Amino acid sequence: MSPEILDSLQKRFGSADFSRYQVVRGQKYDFCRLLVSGTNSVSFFSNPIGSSDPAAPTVFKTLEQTNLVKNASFGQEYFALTQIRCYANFVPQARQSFTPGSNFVYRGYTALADSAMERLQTVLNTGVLEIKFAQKLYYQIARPFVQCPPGFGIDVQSLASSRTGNAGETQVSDTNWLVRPDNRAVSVYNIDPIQIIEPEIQIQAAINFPNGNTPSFSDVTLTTANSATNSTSVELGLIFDGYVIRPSQ
Amino acid sequence: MGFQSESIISAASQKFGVIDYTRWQAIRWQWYSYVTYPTAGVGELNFFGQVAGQTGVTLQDTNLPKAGSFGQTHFQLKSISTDIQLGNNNVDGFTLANGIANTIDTFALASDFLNGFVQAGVLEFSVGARPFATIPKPFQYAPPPGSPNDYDNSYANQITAVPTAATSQVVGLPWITQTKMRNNVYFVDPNILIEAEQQFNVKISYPSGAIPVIASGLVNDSTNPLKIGVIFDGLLLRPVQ
Repeated sequence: MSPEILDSLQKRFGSADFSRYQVVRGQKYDFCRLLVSGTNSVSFFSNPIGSSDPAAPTVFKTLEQTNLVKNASFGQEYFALTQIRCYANFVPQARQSFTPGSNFVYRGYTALADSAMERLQTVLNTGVLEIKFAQKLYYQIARPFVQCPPGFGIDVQSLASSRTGNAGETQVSDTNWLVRPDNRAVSVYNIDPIQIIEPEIQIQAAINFPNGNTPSFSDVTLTTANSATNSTSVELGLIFDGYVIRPSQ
Repeated sequence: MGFQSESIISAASQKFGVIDYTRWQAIRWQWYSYVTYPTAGVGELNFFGQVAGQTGVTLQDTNLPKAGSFGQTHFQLKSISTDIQLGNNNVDGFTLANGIANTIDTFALASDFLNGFVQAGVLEFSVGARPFATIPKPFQYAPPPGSPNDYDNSYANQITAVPTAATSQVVGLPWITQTKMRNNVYFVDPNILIEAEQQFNVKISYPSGAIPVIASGLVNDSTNPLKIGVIFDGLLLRPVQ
């Protein structure tokens, strides 16, 4: 059928009105597990909802991890990119691959020398974010967790620490600590002028670690959980904040 | 039947009605809905589905006039917020837990902020069947419009001698809240106008698996329930009386 006939049919019977567009604030996001043994690159927006996470094949992506419905593109919507946000943190305790026990939060990640928290800090201080649209490089940002912080998080007014008499724990009083990227909305990486991403444009986004692999989180002595084998699961995230531009219905 | 025509109804309304539909007023308004987050965790929680007066639902839980819509008023949505409230957030319990090995995490809600349900979830807001917002980690991405309570402490508490094996030593009282920074509120820009009687749906879900409350020694579904809420802030548009 000719485009004219298709256009006519669409106008008369279509479910969307392509002559009028609606602008809504929205995000395109993708959270990926970090390979526990270390990696030199983490790719984003390459695995849509329902697919397994390359770094954790038994973990399937849901709307909590990504709202991407199509491999490496945002589908039939325009997206006006106004902010880039990067995220890194431990996955919630209930989703760790081991059973942490009920005295883990205040000593598990930090109670040992060269702890999981220290290794997370290393991740946060390294990396290069590269974003390509249609195979053309648009953004190359060093130390993305510092330059493009998430701009959201929690307010910690006071922390606490605890330890048991386990000789393996080197923690002393008041040494529990928390590392995280900037949680202030004013600190996010703003895109000015905004970048329009057209429908079906191929998107390639990755945080690369050219100075060497990320630290291993599979060290059996990394945390003080009551288990002999602890592989702390960490997730990295890339969030595009902006405007979804879609036809009216 | 002419009696049912719009013109006659309009004329009757203008002569005898209690509302003047030709003039409208706009006031700042918040619609809110709080539900209990079960200690065992949950896959999905729906908001704005109940009205005050239903069993166990008071005006402190919601001010919605009608389930799933704002009734006979229009609403211009300017921001979306989440909120976390616990009636008795007894931080002392953390100190009192000193000496109870292997249960420290369960005595402070801060545990859930650091490594629990606050670090996960996704909020979906749709009008009709059309999605208008999908917000990851909503308790962080869309913090409350007010300021959570400040809490000051001296960092001093019960410190015993060198702990024996399997006995915890506790230092400090943990106090963590959603962010207080007003700039962090999730602004809906451009605003969304939700017309009168328009059906909408708001839910927070955990499709990757339910996350139980870590502070299970503090939170209790019946006597000290953990309430989570969604707040719509914006302008209420209603006809002048």
